[in-house]
Amino acid sequence: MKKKIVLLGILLVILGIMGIGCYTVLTHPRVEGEEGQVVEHTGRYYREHCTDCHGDYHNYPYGFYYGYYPDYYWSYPRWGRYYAYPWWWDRYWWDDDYYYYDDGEYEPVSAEKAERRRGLAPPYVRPEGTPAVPFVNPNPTKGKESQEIKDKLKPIKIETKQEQKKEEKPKEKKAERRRTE
Amino acid sequence: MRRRFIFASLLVLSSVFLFPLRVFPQGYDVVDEATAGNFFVVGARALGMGGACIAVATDATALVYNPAGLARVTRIEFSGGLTHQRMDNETRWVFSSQHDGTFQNNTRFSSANVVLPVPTYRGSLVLALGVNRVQSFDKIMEFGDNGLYDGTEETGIESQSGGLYLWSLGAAIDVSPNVSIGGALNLWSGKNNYTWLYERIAMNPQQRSVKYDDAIKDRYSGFNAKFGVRIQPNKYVIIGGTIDSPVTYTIKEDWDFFTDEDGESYYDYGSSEYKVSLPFSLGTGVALNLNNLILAGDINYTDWTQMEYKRLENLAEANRQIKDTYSDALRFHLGAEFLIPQIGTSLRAGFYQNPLPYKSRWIKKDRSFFTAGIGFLIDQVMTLDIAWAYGSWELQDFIIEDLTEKYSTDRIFVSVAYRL
Repeated sequence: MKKKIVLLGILLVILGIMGIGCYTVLTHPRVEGEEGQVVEHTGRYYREHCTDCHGDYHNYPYGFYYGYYPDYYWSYPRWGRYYAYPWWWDRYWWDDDYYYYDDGEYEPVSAEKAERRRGLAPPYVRPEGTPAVPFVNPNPTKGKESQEIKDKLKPIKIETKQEQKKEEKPKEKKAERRRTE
Repeated sequence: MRRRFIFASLLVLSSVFLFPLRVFPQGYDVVDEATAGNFFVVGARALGMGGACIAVATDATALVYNPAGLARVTRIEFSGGLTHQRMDNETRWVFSSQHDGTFQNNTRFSSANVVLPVPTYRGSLVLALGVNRVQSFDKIMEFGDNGLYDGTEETGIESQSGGLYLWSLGAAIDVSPNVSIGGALNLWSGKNNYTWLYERIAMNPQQRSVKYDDAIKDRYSGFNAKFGVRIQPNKYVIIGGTIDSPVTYTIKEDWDFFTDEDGESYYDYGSSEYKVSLPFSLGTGVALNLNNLILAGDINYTDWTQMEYKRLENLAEANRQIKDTYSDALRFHLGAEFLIPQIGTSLRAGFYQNPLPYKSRWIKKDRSFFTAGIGFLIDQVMTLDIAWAYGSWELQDFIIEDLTEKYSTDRIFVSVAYRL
């Protein structure tokens, strides 16, 4: 009986730590000035891009808080991909391409398949040459204003190289047979 | 497990009434509990590193070694493994050069695990579920006596097969950037099939011939919990610690004993159920992470004298036998892993000593293993690990004072893991 009480006590301590919350945070904390707003999560991020607030994210391909990693993770990224890259950052699970549409609803395209990245390319890193969406909150204490700015800055669709190629490719039209002159 | 005790009793009775020439001075006081100290390393990576994984287990095997290590898994993982063991036995009489021996091969399913990291904004929260074969009872011993010494020919074959599987549900969480804690609730389940075939042919008409053919089947079930902590104070050092709570096994036993004495045969059988409680077990491990090279060392401490039978006939006597037979044991593991990132390969080597939990008067050479292994990272989603271990130990037989038993094993582990 005494042992069971000890075990139960240890279990409760662990559950308490997990329940109350500690270092580990499951969701992005609310930003000051936006507490009262209803935020719809359209993707994996609270914000459209983590880099809007976390400018140095690119220096941490596995995130800020994932401990120490050996140097070869950078030279040979497959090690980092296997051991450190969080699965919930994968485009395999969350296809980014549709994230930038502003048409409200996501329409799946059956002919397209999500690409698996072969190296380190965190999802918040934009393709080269595409401009980042600027987001500057002039007055973080006034949530309404910041929301207005956000509304003006509609997310843009980013054309990938693959899509550009598709455009250039001539449409495959079937020739009509002329029956008469 | 009381088979040794039963066997001891039968032999002693035989020795008293049938052939008083052979002496068994200590056999009556020995009890052999199979669940004590038979840890079987889990996972090929772990075996390659000599089982030194309390600090460095960062995959599904962390369920077994240190649940806190689960916190370092960031991808959904499915893993499994197989083990193969060849055990060679050689027995030798002290009073003659005669020796005997045999071998036994066992290929076993070793593990199946799934690890699910929960998406987090900061830190880590990981859940895991799995089954792992953590104890092996596979063993064989054969001896023979040509009768030149005492006028009776004897042969005996003791064989057992089975093991304990650990069904675990675990979780780990980061409580600071460099500290993780974890726990696992474990359900123990397994079986042990023991057989004993003994035959003595009397060459002297004043003595009697005897044959025993026994089978004892045990089915184990139990429950306990394991807690662990993993600390990485800097890039180069990792420290781990674990506590295994006591486990109480419920053992359901079926036994069949066949006896033939000079043509007169007896058959007896029965079933019973009893409990045995194993004590706390403590472990700690340290690892040095030198970029491509990891050096790791673990120690585990268990005081087997605190083992205790419950709900057993002659309970007090059996528990006294435990105190007389068993000792505390410090198991230690050393391992190294050298990584060649260019070719996606890891080379491993290790050594571990898993001491026999008995008092030193029965131990001629303690149980130790040399290990080696290799691991491959395949296409950034899969690992294949292969390991080999050679171990040996030598015992004086519990019952037959003049008989020494030498064992050696070759173990080959194969593990595969796939991360989504």
